[in-house]
Amino acid sequence: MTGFGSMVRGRLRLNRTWWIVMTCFLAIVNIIQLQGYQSLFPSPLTREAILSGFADNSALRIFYGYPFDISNAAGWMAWRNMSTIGMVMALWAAFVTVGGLRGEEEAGRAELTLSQPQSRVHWLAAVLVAVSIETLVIGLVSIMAMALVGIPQGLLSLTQCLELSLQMILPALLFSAVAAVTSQLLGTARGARVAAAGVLAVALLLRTPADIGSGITWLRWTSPLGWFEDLHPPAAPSIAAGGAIVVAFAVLVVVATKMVTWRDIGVGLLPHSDSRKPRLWLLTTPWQAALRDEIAPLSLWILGAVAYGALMGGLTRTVLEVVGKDSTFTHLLGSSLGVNAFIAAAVSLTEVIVALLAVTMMVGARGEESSGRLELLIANPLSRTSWLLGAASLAAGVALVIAMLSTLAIWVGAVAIGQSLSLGSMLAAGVNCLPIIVIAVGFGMAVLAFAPRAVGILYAGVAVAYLWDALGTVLKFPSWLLEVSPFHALAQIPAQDFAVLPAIAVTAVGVGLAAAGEARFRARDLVAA
Amino acid sequence: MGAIDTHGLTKWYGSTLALDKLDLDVATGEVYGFLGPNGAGKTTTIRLLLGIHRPTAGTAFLAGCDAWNDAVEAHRHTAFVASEPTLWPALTGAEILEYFANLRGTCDREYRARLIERFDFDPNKKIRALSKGNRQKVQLIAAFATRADVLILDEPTSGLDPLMEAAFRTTVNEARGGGQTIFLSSHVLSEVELLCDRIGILRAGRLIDQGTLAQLRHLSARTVEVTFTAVVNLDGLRRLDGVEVADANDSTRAVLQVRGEMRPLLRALAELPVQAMDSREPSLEEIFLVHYRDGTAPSLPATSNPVRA
Repeated sequence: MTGFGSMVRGRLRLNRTWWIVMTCFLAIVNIIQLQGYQSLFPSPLTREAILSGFADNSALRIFYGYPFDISNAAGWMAWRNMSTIGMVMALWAAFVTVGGLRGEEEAGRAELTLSQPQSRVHWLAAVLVAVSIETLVIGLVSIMAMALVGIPQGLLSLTQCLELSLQMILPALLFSAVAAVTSQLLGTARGARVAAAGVLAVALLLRTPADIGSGITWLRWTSPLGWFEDLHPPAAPSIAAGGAIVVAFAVLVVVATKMVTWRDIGVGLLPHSDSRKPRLWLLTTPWQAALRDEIAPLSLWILGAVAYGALMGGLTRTVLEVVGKDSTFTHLLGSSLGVNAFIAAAVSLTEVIVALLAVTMMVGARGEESSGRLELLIANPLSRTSWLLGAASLAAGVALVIAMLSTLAIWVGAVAIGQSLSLGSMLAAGVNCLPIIVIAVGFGMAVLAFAPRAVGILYAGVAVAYLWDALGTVLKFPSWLLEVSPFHALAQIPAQDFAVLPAIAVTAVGVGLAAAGEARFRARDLVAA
Repeated sequence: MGAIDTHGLTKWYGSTLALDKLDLDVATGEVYGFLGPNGAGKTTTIRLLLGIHRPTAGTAFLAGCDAWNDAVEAHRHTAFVASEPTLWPALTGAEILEYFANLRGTCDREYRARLIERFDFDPNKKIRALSKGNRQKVQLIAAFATRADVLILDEPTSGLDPLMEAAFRTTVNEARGGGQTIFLSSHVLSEVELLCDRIGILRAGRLIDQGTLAQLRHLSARTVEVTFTAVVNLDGLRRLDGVEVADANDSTRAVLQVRGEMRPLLRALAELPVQAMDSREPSLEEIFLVHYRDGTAPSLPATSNPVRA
């Protein structure tokens, strides 16, 4: 086992930025949800009546699963929070695992590692162990965060914190094993990631009928997401579900270790073609080539944003019915609470999604520089400014399109259930995302120009801005302090009218960051990885 | 002004001096070889010439255009081959060739088709499926097909097999015939020896010598191998200025290293029973090693082109 520890430490070191971001982000989200539960449902007497509206909604059950017992904080957290966080953790672990396996093969580094006296099985195991350690640390920090907030208020016991964390940790471990298998089957990291994400999507589709229908609960057993759901606190974890997870994990790991010994390094087991007739579209400019390269992931972003919008639109009536049962919501969400207030809250999350997309595109642009390909581009008659502005315009353009599609989907979802909603106001809500997009892209340009090796902080920036708004609202920060976050500064359309001044201010900051970034990028050396 | 012109070109990376007051003047139509060990500053020079990095001091001009301030215009006259063929893995060779042609705006497609054939390249294969040598072919085909005035080639034959190296030399000679200027940074000394009109040698960021191969030979010893009909005493040869007996295994054969004039050696040999004598010029490899032996720079004689560093 000589060198095994080094391989594990190497993976931990390489993943450290994302690891820290995920640990902090999830711990804070768990605190917000727990504190939010206490704020939204202070009275146990009225809680169940209020929540029944949510619990009976089919659309919510698609994402949150079956609401076994949401009349207490542990059950609420398991349903409202851990089901989605479990999926996020599963995706994260799958992506990190693919990066450590197929990604290393793509980069040619796996050949170097395996030319050392290291077996393929040890190499694969080192990646899985590293992901497991990261997962356990993320879970442990979340346990501590939940215990810190939940135990003093009598919301959770330590056992419940541990049970809740199982719903975070186990999906990550299982999908890490899924990704270990897809990394053997597919010849590219992108393919392996899409396949792992596809397994998650199929698992969700399989679980959904069991969660929203009646009499077909057995279907839950066909999906790993159903097994995680059956761990539901505050009930004791299902032994059968736990056993299914352990067996599936073991089988997948064994299959992956067998596969890695059968195949050629650098090649997937599934047949593939490395040749094709040239496709010469979208190859005129770097931004076109970038768009071409990102079409597959962008399609997933669009699908996700539209599905989210349609879901939120379709939920409008349910939410209003729930809200009408208790004045607490009116107090918390404003006196003009109604369709528009709920839609405005839904649009806020769209703003987060498009901000994340915009920074992801800027991180992709940095990839061109770190790989050395930008040197080849710049050696042509192409100015740095036009390349950077091309990348920024593409990020902004794509993000705006997704914002418009998402808000339009909200309108379609609402109209489909017979809820009156102004199309004009939803288009305005979409356009109102533009200042967020501009500031995200401007921030991206500035980081790319001033700290190119630290583009990972772009995600942290979006997370901090979002959490500042979310946590600040729960902790009742003063308005001026909340408005430091651009997510809070902009008008909540359609609940509020379009506010010119905040929009101009946020846009101006974005343009200023972009201008500073452009000037610096024009003057600095290109920096490889 | 030549095709490539630098004056006092200097680059510091933090506290590290990567390039120190480089003066280059590469004439139009010239093939200029740029030699130096790893870390000597060759790639830094190329990055400064292409405006990829900004000079700390000094200026660089490509085809009469300032390499930093007027980079786009300079690049209209320039094509580049990078040492590491990092290309877009999901695209095929044909798609990348078309992408580069679109970015440049000009491409001799007929010549490109000939180059594809000459380099025996399959343009329908995706980059991720290509070996390093084949990826390098994509860059070479794309660069030469531009018919650019100036070609900057950084380790261009890295990964190519000997047949493809021959194809590369043919292509360089065609470019030279067409009046194109070529700046060739390479570790393949035989390639530089065969192709280049002039050679510059860089060490620790300083241009320590440059000139034609004949001019560079001044520093290196000529090797003279002598066979005698009988055992002879070599002490007389050892006493001659500029003559070193490198090998004399049985005193009937001697290998001599001769610097400077040959006449005193010939006079001395005339007194000895010489059966055969073979004399050869130092190879570029020997010249290169002389410049780097013991990490000390040789002093530059007056016959060499002056080094302005």
